Amino acid sequence: MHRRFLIFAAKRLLFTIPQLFAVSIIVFFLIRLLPGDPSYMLAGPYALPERVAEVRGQLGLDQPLLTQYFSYLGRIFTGDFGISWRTSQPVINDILLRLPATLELVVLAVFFSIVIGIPLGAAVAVNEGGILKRIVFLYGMLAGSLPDFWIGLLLILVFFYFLGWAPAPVGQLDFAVSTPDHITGAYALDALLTGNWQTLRSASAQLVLPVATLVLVYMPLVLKTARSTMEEMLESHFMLQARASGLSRRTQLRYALRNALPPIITVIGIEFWFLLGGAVLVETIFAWGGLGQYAVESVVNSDYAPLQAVVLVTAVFTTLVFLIVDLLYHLLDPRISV
Amino acid sequence: MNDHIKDCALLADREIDPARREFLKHMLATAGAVGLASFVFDMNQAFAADGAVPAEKSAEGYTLTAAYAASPPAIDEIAFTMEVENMLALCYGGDLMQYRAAPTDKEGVYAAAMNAPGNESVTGRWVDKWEGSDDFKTWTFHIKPGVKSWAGNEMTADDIVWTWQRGFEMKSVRFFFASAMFLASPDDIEVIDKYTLRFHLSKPSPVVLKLMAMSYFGGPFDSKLAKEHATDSDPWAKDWLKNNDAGFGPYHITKNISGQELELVRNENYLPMPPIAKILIRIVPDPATRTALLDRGAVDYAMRLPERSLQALAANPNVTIVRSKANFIPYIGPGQKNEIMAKVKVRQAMAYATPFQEIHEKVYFGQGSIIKSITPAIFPNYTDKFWPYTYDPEKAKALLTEAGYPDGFELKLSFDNSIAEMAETAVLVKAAYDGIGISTTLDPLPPAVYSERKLRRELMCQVDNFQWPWISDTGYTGWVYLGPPATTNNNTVFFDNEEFNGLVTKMMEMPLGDERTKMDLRVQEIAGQEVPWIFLIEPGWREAFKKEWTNFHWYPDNNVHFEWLYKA
Repeated sequence: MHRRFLIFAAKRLLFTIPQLFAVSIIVFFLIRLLPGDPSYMLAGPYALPERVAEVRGQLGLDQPLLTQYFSYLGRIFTGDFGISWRTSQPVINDILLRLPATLELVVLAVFFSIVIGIPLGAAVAVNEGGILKRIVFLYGMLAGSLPDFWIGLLLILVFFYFLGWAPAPVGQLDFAVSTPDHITGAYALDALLTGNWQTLRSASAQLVLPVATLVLVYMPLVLKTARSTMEEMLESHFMLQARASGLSRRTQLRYALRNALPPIITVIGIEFWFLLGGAVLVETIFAWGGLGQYAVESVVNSDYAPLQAVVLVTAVFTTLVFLIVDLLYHLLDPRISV
Repeated sequence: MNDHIKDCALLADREIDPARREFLKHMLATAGAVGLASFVFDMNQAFAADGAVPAEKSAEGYTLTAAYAASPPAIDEIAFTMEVENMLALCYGGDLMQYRAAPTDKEGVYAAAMNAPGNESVTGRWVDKWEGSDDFKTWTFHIKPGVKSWAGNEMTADDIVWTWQRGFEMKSVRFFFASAMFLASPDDIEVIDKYTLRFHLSKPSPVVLKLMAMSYFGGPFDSKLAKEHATDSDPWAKDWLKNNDAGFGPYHITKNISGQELELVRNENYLPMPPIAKILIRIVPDPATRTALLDRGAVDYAMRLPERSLQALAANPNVTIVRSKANFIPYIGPGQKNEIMAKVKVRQAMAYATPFQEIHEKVYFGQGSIIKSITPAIFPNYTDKFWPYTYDPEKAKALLTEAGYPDGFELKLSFDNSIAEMAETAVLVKAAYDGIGISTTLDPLPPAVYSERKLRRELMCQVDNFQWPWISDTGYTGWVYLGPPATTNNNTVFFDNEEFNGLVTKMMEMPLGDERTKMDLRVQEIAGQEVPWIFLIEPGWREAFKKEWTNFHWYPDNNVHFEWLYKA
């Protein structure tokens, strides 16, 4: 069993290499197809044509595309993703600053989606026809039809503007709260690890509304999947046999849940992947300064280097997430192979 | 000495106001004579009228919180956004000269006196005396002793020379303005002594003092500090100065986390001492969130809010909307590389078809004023008599017929989609143009794409608001934005009129006087006849603050200059 798992994991890991290579090619050439030349914005309105040409040269945009690609490929192996003209920083520094901010948001959102969504979905599946089912159905309908930025603005309006319960949506920390010593880059976690309680309080408070927004909007995916697969399992032949064999209700539910898990894990993986880049509007509304916001700003400003890097980093994380999903699948059902 | 030769002792210089006022108060107390008391009272009023900082306010040491729309891409003249210009103005404080401040009709709001004739609108910034030669080619500047950077180094003539040398190396904005003032090389700056420099220009420059009043391209640098961060491969400290400041201005950046926050502390060596000791800025990209933050009192200042949000905030008794007439020139720009747009009658027809009043009311809620000249209304020699265009669709149709387009034509109207007011304007323009047969397609573009296509002169027609000339001079405005297209990059509409080109080029090198004023009026007249741009609405400078702040100073960079602010 252990050896089979290791072989499976190794094969799966090997697959990631061509995947990432393909992503690097697609990303590079697709981004070059986008309209917009950053040299003009970088050089400014008063720059002479020679200065614009000089900037193009510094960015390497005057080279043939293939030369640019191989140069890019060579540099990323050394961690050099280039420099962002919008921040004047090496892109790798920007990503190391912004990725933890996004991960903190996304991990918490996915975590709460799991701990609330799965039990709630299972409960609805078990208690057919109850009031809970109707409430959950209504919530699923609403959450599915309302965009995340709207929910975010609504939460700000109610809990910050009218009630004054939530802190000002000014990013990861309130004004005048010092940033914690850097360990992971995630402020709440770093504050916890360093025992910086004032910063931890502020960071935690700042997390509440954006995480609540993401959970409210994206949890129904987990909840609905949990409910439908549980319903399916509860009606399956093996559950009929379990009931006929006189197994306790608790044992029956445990069997059903275990068998319902693979599709739920897939959905969780998809949600995680989606939120890595898809939380951009929530990041913008809450001034979070995360990776999604960075990517969108890069697109509208034709800032190629960070855009390429963000897509590549997201691809690495996505690959990693689906790798974990596959491995969990394999653990749950060893019949699955690459 | 001729009237254009300045030798100014700067009685009303804002830098020395508090000390002067204290001195005059002392005189008042000791003299006791009615006549002298009256004189001193008048003098004090004159000082207070320019919006100086009272000494007791300097001692307060306030903290101001602000919500900005974006981080500055750099703290150097390598990128150009409002945030960059704001940081450069705060950290470097501008060049050798500055526009004088004058009271406006709003209490607690002062504005650069751009309407004063000739060079009377400018005064010394870092200099207390300057002289120009009769031929306007040699200019001598005397730096005030004791001006110190945040690092404690005193400004000397060497700092100014190093700054210009670096400007020539950077080949960016300072370099451009060197060419505008006919400074051919940094070697043409002569150091007379520690505090005195002489600029030898290759041609006369009537606007050199105003060119020296700008604040958005960085410098003067504390060269001693900057050189500490220079290397053999980077002798101009470009890498370090991208993210750090080495200025003599009122503030110094102590924290800059891109996309998240900025922290500035005051330069303790700056005089008069800014009442705000610390500025905490959070980057809040969403204007609705910035509006909510100010509305709820969570920040003191919310940057760059659209007029719609300002109108909503105006109802809040704890918020003040600061307004001042300004120098913006939003316009519709027919790209004259296009065969149809190149026809004067077509451009005139478009001007008559433009719903100025509707844009003024629906986009700007009646704030600001309709523009009627190439030169902003606050500039000297401004006149509206050459701009006959009001909304008149019948006249527009007649002109289209005369131009050979009785059934209209297809128009692509491009704009930067990140600016809500340009998008709203474009929608109203489309409806009006469609009404006279100009079938208009809206072409919203992301900022970088818009900027590129505009500078490449690829747009058929653009709605734009990026022009706000700093030099209060029609010749300069015409030259910098619509001058000879072969050499004027900013002439993005490719306007090419021989007489206009000749006039604005000549005005850049012609001493002030009556003849130049006549040329100024003729430039405005040609702009009215030829319609290189269809001028829209000057919305004015608009900023939203908590009610308690006062002493706002509008400067032509249209940024907030926090060094003047204090709580009422």
